[in-house]
Amino acid sequence: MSWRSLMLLAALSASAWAQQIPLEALEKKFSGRTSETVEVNLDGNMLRIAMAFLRDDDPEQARAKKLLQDVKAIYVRVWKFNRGTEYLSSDLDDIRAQLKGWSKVVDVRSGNARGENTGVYMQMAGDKIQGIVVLAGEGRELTMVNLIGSLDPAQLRDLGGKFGIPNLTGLPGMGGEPKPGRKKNQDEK
Amino acid sequence: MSELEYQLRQALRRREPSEGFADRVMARIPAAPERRGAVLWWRWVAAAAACLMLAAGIGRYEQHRRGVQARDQLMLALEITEKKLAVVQSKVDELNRRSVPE
Repeated sequence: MSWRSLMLLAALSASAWAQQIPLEALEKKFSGRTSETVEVNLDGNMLRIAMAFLRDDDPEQARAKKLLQDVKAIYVRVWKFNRGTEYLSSDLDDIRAQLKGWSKVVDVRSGNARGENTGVYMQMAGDKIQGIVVLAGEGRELTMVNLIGSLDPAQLRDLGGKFGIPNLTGLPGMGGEPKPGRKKNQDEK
Repeated sequence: MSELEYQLRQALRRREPSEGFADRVMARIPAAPERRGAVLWWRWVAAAAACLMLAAGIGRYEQHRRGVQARDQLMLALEITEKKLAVVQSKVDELNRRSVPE
């Protein structure tokens, strides 16, 4: 293998790592505060194996296969907190710090320490999405989805409403006319 | 002593073996292990083949099980993503409703 190929391989690997959000710090922070945790880690080989087992005769699985053909990894965490030890908005600062340079499609931060926080963040490379992070905090449950790989925004939009994925029209990068009103970095009371 | 007892004693009395008996027995000993080794060799081959087939079957089953498990995890991940995008959508809709001037 030539030096040029090695450099290209290293760069590709590094770019994949750039879209992956490190979760260890958050898991350590939340340790002992949750009654239940849902964890899904599908990367590299495991994702390829999963894709190979998707059935073409099942409409949902067939659409998933089409959507995820260029996706490299999917990480999901759902934390259900005990009463009194819910996550704080400040707990999410570490994640948000990792998302510098990402496009904030939606970023809702509560002014309350234990308020709701939601967000959709994308890392773009040209007209392709290279990484998506979805943050959804509701009550005593916090969910984080990190999707790494190449996604066509049109594909996401086209599947909106069919796979159950809402059609996020009106948002930058998701197609359609933007709706009037506030969109980003909203603080709620 | 009765007639029966006498006959039994005669039949079961100790008799010395014929000349060269010990040598004939010793000469036949090497022949027996060779034949036993040949039979055992085939048994080992059959046992190894059966073990290999069993391992291959178990490996195949395990691969299938991991694949189905991975697929189920993938569908779970997509279902969670779908639900949470719906949460985000509803939040965006709520903000838009609040911000649109009446």
